[in-house]
Amino acid sequence: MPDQATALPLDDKVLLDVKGVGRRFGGLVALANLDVAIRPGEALGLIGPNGAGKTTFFNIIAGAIPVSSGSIHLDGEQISGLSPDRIAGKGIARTFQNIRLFDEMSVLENVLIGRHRFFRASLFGLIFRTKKAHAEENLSKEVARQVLERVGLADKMAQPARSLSYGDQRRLEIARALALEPKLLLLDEPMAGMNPTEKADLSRLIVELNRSGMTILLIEHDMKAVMGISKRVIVLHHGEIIADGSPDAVRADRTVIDAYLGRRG
Amino acid sequence: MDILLQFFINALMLGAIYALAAVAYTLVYGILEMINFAFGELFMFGAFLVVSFMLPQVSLFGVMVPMPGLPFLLAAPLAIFIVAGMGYLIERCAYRPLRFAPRLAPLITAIAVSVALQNLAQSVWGAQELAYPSFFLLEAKPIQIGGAYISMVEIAVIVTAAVVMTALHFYVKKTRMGRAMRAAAQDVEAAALMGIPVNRVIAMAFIIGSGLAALAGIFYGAVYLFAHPHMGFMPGLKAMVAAVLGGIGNIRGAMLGGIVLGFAETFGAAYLPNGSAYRDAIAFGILILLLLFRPQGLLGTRLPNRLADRGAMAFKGSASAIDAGLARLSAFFAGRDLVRYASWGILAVVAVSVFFIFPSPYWARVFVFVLIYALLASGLNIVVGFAGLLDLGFVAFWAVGSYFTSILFVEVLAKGYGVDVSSVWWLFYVNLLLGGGLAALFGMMLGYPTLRLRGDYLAIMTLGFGEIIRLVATNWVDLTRGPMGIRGIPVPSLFGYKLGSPVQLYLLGLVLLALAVFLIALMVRSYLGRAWVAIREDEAAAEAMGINTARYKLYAYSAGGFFGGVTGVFFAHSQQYISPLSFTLFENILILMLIVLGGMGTLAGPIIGAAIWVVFLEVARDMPFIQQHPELRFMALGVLLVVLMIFRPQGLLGQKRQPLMMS
Repeated sequence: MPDQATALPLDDKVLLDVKGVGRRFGGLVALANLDVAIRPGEALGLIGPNGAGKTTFFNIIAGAIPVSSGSIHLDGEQISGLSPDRIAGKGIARTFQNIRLFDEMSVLENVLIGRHRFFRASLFGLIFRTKKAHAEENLSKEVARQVLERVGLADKMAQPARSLSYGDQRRLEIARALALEPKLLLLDEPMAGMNPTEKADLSRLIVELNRSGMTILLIEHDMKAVMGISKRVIVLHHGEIIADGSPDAVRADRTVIDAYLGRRG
Repeated sequence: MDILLQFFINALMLGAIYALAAVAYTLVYGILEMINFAFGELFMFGAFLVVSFMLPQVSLFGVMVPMPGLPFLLAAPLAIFIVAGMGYLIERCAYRPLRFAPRLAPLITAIAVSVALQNLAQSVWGAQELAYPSFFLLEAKPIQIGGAYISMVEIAVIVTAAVVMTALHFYVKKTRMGRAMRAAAQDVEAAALMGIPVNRVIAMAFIIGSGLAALAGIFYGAVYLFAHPHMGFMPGLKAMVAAVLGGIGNIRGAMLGGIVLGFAETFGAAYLPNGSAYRDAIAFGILILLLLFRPQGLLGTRLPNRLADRGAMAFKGSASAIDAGLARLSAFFAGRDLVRYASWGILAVVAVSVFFIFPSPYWARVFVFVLIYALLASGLNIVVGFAGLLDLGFVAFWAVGSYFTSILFVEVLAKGYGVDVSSVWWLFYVNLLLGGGLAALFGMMLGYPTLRLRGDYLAIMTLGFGEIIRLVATNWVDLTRGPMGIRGIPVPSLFGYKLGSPVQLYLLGLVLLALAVFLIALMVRSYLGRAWVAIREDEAAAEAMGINTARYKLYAYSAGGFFGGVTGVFFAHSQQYISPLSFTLFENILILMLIVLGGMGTLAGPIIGAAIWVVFLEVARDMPFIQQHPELRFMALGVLLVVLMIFRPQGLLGQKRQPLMMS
């Protein structure tokens, strides 16, 4: 199976380099010795049955859970061992499987939180309302508006996040992550619980983002959606990578079929 | 040797009392992950009820009422039964509606219930001690072992506590209800899905817990021979510490924690230098060390607030007539700019106050207090309202500011160097900044060890700090003049012109408040304030978006501390006298309640809350029934807060939406 190999051409640049990453919870091995290399501009799909370790893998990249072994580098810089806020500051943004917005804040404010890492103004600057403080606030507001435009929430900017529909809340989470201007965007089941129309809309948005150069790692249960977005898919099963390749190759892979559907003679 | 044995018995007895009450805290925490502050008050009710039943007549609401004069062995079970019923009612009415609210809501409600109960007791039984009548345990001759005397009461306390706790242990281990309790403690939702009647289990935990607290209170009263409305306060806090010490949620841990605390306190008071003066600080010192090094407690395995994420859940707003009316009122303000809204609040206060102030120095003085409380509440609101961190040690910052400027002016300059303080009038203005800065530094120090803690533990830890500062202020007599306080603090003046009249002080305070609100508005409307609110709404998500939550929490503590310190300086110079009595936990709770009353996380809320409360205190003073029972006002505030938390958590005038952006 030639296209299962993770080997990349040596001269190819790697954005996120996951080397030998393992994670145990007590005696349970959630992730065993993972090696994944994500290239810039790639839209990588991560699939696998429930409990395969997908979200654990996300949490490890984002720093919410520390690694038990191995290392992760972003653009050649080690990020494993850093706190989630430092990792976000390095340019990795994520969404959550169960939506986690700042409910009482407005849509615009939620997105502005994503801009947090760009704010430099000192207390002095804030109190005396220096030009610099105003400029960075205005810049961030402008970026936030553009991002909201892009995900189609521009007309709901002033509403509190909790008042949005489910699909819009998912979009807002993505907008908040985009405002961080990430090098790598982690999307954890962004289509969970959506109806087919909403799914199609969101798929289109993710494809557009990727086309404009955003590197995306996507967890999704909906195989059809993943296949439509990603040119490369990794299949995780019991904390191990059992397949890595093009959507078609993965779909035809014997071990993958077994893992998902059970062995049928 | 004799003295050691005597201490040993005392420690065991005290430990047994703490252990009984600690089990109450731990039982409820184990299931609901909520600290029921009201157990301290139920403890006190236990003592009052038993004394009342035993006496031939008791003065209730100032009226002599004949009582049955029951024997102790009948009065005690009756008192326990009644207090257990009270516990059930509290859970049913105040806590159950808030079971799925953000964590801060039940905590604040528990504090409000506690305030209401304490003041209810004071109304019913009066503010004096009610002496225990003599009964057989007290009349029995003490047993003499060597040179140590062991009274029958002590033996009864130790033996009963041992029997009750063994029984409870088997109840939880062996019975159906006990098993259901343990299941609910593991996971309330899963237990409910498995057909366990969770509501009944929780009610049972409250009933048993309240009964235990009452028993502890009855014994405590019997040992010290009195009942008093405030008697449950300190032992309640210490029992809570004991529960945390043993590993909260762990019943055996609570027993162990109680005993350990009893020993630490008894022997610490006896053998540590100046130990008896700092007796009450020992428990809090242990608590802080414990939370720093072993937050899960001695026997605990789990960290507190496993369900901290629950804070992210939205309030389920209950519809009601009150709600609709208030909603209309706040709709009037809604949608307006945050700062304009705040200036409305201040303007309203000013507009109303001018009618009172200028004709009457008395009302001017009252409004100086409005301003002081408004300043304090605005500072605390940064921590509680915006960053969502419960802070029960905020009065410490107020104390730091007050003591800093008072010691400098009176003790150092006037007495130490014989300086004429009116020649350094400008120092007051410098001190506003220095006192604020010093308090901000204290805020950092207080905040740092609490960073890893969430919700309830944070509350207890800050409470411990606040109490320690107050105890230092009371006992470090060389520096602070102790309970006598510091007198002769000069009034503020400007170029030799004294601003000593109430109206002048009022105007000066108004300037300070306007400045404070302006500064807070600037902070809140920047990325700083957004980060605070993000932490309040969902800490993990805030972290994932690049916010260093630890750092921003420290900023919140020090920003709040700064305004607390500034207020302290103004307070000291406007009152010209300070003493540790001003800086009690009760004041802290009151300030917190004023914020909730007006609206947490708004700029005008703390000011409106302070104005409503302080003016009400004065107006109500002349009402006929209140005149005899002034503490009923505090009880009313407690009850009002419980109602607010259930029906209108955003406060009287709070608007839920407010832009957190520079304009």
